[in-house]
Amino acid sequence: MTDEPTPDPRIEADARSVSAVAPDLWSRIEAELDAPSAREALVSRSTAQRRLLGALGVLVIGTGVVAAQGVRADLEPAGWALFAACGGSFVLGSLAAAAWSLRSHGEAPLPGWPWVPLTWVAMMAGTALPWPGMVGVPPEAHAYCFGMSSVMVVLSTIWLALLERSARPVPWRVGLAAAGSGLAAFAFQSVFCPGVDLAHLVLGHGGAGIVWAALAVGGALILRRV
Amino acid sequence: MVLAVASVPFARFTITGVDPLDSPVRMADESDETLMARYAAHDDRAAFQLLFERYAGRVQAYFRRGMSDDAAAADLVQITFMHVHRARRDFDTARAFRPWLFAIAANVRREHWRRKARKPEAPLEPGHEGSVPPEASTATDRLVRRAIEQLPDNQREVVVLRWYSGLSFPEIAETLGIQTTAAKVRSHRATKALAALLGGGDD
Repeated sequence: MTDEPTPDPRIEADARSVSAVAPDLWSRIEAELDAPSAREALVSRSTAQRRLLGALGVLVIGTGVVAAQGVRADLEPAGWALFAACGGSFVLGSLAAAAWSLRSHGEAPLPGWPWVPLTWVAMMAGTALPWPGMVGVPPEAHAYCFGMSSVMVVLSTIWLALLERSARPVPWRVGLAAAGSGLAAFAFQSVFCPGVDLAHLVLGHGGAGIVWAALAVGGALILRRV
Repeated sequence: MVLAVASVPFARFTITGVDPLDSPVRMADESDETLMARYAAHDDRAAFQLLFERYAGRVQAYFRRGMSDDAAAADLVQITFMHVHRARRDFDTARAFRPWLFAIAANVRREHWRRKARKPEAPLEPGHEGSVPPEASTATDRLVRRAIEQLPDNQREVVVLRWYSGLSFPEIAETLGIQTTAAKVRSHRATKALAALLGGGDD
């Protein structure tokens, strides 16, 4: 196949007829350009800048929530080093997810759904990491840590959603943003809370990311239908 | 006006103190990439308008024959150019403008169909002619439209980008993220299928 077939002349005529643009279309675009939304300054930044801002926002929110609670006092320098290795891997994963969730209009969409469960699996696998800390956490502490992790996840996801250019949320992207924020929340909450019981890590530290990611995906699916 | 972006290729003209890009006549001769670079760097509305004038028709044709929903086509053109506006700082001046523009249009189209929860392959209901008034829709219009709609979506997208939007095969390949050979093969098959489908039709 070397020669390109010539199209039917009726197709060429049809192509001419359907390309006539409404005369007011440019003025409609100008009107929209002249009345920018409040988010315009954020979403008009380059994708690289939006990703950087997104990652910084997740870090600032996590640091802020930890600062409000205080820092655990049980760790010696060696314990902090081990903690930094575990928590750092979570935060890095979180920043990657935040960056991945923000895409440019010109990029081909990635098949996103696999990344959300993968992030969840990573979070659950993280409970097996050798987090230094204490066992015997009282059950009521699960709810407290879940609540504080939720604050981080929700604020981070809102921040990432503000940086998103799409008018309607894309389910897998918002799910990835929430799941990634959950990874960061897991680590940041462990800066305050020394509990390392498996149930506490799953329910208190990791659960918020899973629950809010599921809610974000469900909410985005509903919003897209509106 | 001194252009601050080194990638804009004619900054050298500013040494005379007169920027020839301020002239609309001169600007009309500039490449798409140069105009987009100007818009990204300086928010030059005239450059954006010129790009709109060059491509709005082709983008509209892509929407009108890329799917069976004429009513939405003008809105989708508007959305596409607003996305170009928001993504202007993502534009890579080393790459071609047209595949970038049509990649955005393809994403807009995909999003439109997702929102409508319908597949592009959905056949037209009998008698459906989109927003084309019956008096303006000739038998040929209907025949061509139906023929294109009978193509598989991946062939239809290539044939519309090729014959309605005027993209080259390398540009189509870049737009859709496929190999140039694949774009040619799809076009070849689609053109043959269209010839067969249109063979019996006439005004």
